[in-house]
Amino acid sequence: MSRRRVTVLLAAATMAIAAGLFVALPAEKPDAVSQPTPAEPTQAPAGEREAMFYEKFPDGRVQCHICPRTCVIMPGQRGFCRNRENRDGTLYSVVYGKPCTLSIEPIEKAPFNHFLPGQMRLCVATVGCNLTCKYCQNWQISQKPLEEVRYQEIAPADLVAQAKKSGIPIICFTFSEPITFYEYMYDTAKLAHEAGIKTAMVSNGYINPEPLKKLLTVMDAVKIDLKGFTPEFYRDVTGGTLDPVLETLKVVHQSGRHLEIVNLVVPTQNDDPATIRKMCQWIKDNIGVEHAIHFTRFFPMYRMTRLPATPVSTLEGAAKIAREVGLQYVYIGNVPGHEYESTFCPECGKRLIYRVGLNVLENKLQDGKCPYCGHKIPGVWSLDEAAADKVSQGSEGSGSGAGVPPRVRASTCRPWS
Amino acid sequence: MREPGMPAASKHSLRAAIVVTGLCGITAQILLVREFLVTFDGNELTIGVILANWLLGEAIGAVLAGRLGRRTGRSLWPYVAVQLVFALSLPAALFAVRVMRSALGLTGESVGLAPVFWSSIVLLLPVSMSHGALFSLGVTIYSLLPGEKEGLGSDRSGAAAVGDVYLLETAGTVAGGALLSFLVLALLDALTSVIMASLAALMVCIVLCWSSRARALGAALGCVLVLGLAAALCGGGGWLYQASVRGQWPHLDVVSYSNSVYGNITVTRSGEQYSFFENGAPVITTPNPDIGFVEEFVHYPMLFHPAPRRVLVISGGAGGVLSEVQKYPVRTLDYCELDPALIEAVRRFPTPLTEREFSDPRTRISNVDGRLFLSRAAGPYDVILLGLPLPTDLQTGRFFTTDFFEIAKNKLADGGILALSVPGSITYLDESLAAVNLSILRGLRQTFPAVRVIASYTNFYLASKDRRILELGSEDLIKRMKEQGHPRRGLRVPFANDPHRKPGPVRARETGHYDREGAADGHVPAPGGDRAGMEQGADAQGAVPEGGPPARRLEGGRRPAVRVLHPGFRGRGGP
Repeated sequence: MSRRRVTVLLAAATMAIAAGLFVALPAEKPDAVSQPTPAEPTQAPAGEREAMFYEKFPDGRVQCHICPRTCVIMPGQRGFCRNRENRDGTLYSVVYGKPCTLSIEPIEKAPFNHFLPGQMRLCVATVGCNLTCKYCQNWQISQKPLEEVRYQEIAPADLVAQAKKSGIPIICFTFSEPITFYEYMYDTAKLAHEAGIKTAMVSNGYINPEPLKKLLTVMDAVKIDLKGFTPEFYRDVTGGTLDPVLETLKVVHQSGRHLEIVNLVVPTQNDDPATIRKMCQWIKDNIGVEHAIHFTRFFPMYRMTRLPATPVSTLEGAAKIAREVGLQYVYIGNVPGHEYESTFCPECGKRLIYRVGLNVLENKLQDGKCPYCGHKIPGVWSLDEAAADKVSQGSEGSGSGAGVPPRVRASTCRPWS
Repeated sequence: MREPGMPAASKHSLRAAIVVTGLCGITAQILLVREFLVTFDGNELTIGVILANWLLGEAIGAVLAGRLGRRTGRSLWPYVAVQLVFALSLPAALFAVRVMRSALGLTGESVGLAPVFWSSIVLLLPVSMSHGALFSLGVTIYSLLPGEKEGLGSDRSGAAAVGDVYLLETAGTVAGGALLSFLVLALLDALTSVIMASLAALMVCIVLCWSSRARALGAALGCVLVLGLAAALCGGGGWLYQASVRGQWPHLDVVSYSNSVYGNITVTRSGEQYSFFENGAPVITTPNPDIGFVEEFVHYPMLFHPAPRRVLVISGGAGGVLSEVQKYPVRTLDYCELDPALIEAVRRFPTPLTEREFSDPRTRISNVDGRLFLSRAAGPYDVILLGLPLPTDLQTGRFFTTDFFEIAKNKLADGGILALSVPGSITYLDESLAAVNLSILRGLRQTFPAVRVIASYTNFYLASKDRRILELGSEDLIKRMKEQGHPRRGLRVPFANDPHRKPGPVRARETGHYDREGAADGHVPAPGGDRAGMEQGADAQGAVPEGGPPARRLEGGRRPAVRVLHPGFRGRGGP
């Protein structure tokens, strides 16, 4: 083969790759000439569901508005999260009713420390995520397309029926990123509420305000990963941006839904005490001091395998900063047996809920209050209370909770000895 | 044939130069490969890629130098010039390998084979090409030296010259390998070692120049050598060393960086915590290890055995595992750790945890290969804990074979248990990890009549000749804990002591679902995301849906099994 021929072939290959990238990569902005057409959501059985919150363009492209990436997707292509596909100008959720993970776990694992402690939850996840965290614990599903995993088909109604029949009081959307299976989560949560089952979401908070507000009408509790507090950390380690997550925290707070925050402290990446102080100050100034915040220990994971585990003293330092700033419910996670796994009364300092790992060994709360000083501890402490809250808020899908036996009682049980 | 410039060298000095070239070549190969492994957490695949690129460079250098040699004849200029390039590029390459992580912004991040491939091409090429060129030039000059009747044009004498040069270089290679393995690695840092190799190459240049009466050049090179030595002695070497280690471990406080025959041991400090890295991978954290894993890894086998008295820990014992075993009334605790440098490092940076572990009179530490130790051990043991990570290299893989399982079975007492762990997932087990789990499960089943699997983020495998381990439940474990006077904080069997959740998933996950699944259809443990996971959860709630959970496809899409063999492939499925 002559040099000239090789040169021509190389040039052609380069142009082909460039053209492919141009077609495949989502554009930042939609075509200004196109007139967006809001799509109406429709109900569908498992495996088929038109997406919510997107726009159609006359040239066949669509723009997804679920998350801040606002992917503009060409026909036949999928968005960044790999879960939303443009089929002939209509955006579909390809993972609707196709969970790859269903498991039953304690609510403390989310972690939720102020939401129905001691209860079990039915965890649901499909593939997909709209971030690319280098330390993702669930990368086996969060960073894969549907075709590369095993999954099963369960329609929202069937999922709710199974939870109801099994007496599991909470359906929790978790593990990967629930935002990327928004429609499945929304439809399931709506049916769950109608059946008197509580709903919770464990999310990175990388979602646009409008979809979030709609989702919160059917969601009882939200845990948000505030992964760091610098734009650089979000850009370099998670592939996202910080501001939308902060906006999410504000929206959830304003909605009155139960909110807890997790900050995974990664050595050398987001463990700067000054930054942690800024983060805590922002939380205090914008969403108040009563939301639980969890500083959790990092262990080498996924692509971040050349870092040490987070020193416990670093977590304790972060917790100290948070308390100094004024946050009232500060926890340390992934350190089984640590004192700060437990809940303490911010008023009198007494231990109210004694936890070791995922175990609730003692719960002294009485009607959500400290038995020593009467201070009201924010949170959802019993299914009855949750049901009453629902009724008083008049949210859609509120159920009576009848038929779901409360499994948590104020208790002074001692651990085995 | 043209005979420009520089006169020919003496035969003896050229022979010495070729021997030194062999010695420096093996030094460069070994040390650069080791540094690449530390920088990129590699295994044999990494070594293969690096060596392939090295050989590629050698071949290119040899071809180019062969053409050059036809024009320059027996002149020493090209040889000296290429030797200089080799001497300068070798330490530069090693320094570059160390600081590459910082340069590429790879803080804390592992990488796949592609960066290893490209970086090893770029960084090794000057070194390997010059080394390959030295061989061709050496052959050319050697064949034309006075005393050789004919040049390369004659097949017989050319072949003889090639053979002589090859033999001399191989002699240098063998000597260099022995010197490096048995002396230099234990005494010197890699950077110092390659600088010494470079100085040896520089010395060769000086001798060649001197013997061929190019004494002005020899004197100039001698000055360079002296200046280099002076700079090294005045702290320049130390500065280079510090800068290279900082580059390899960006943002971490490295308090110890040492090499042994087996690899590199790096210790970092953060607050009260010491982290011990072996060839770039974290292996021990003190004084607060991943206690969740450590407790499950130790206490499951120790409680499944009715009265463990003789325990063997093969690797991964220091920094938590030994401490947990010592909570039991064991009589002897043998601990094998191959690399003495690791134990030495843990001793050098003591914490109350490790001091307690090492001072326990029941504990005997042996720096020997665990497989060899077990083969020679008198035994029998009640519990053998195999504390090795996922077998992603051949060294570790030797322990996850039926051969090793057979050795272990023969050294177990009646009712004895071999325990090992393999990464799992509570959410979803992908195909490569499932293949590894399944392979090990099958290997254990071929060897032992009873294999118990406890699935979680880490899957724990308990293998025994005694089938009674299949019948025990969480209540039995709790009873044994109480009988053995176990400290209350000591074991946190998930949910077992939670009054709200009894009988929790522990009972469900110990019912043998996974054993049956594995036996029936080749499926492997995964508490979530599959039929077994659904059954487990449903069982835990006492509410199995009618007809069971939905059936599902188990085989999934086909992906190359080789993916699991390299640590850099973890998570390479992402964008």
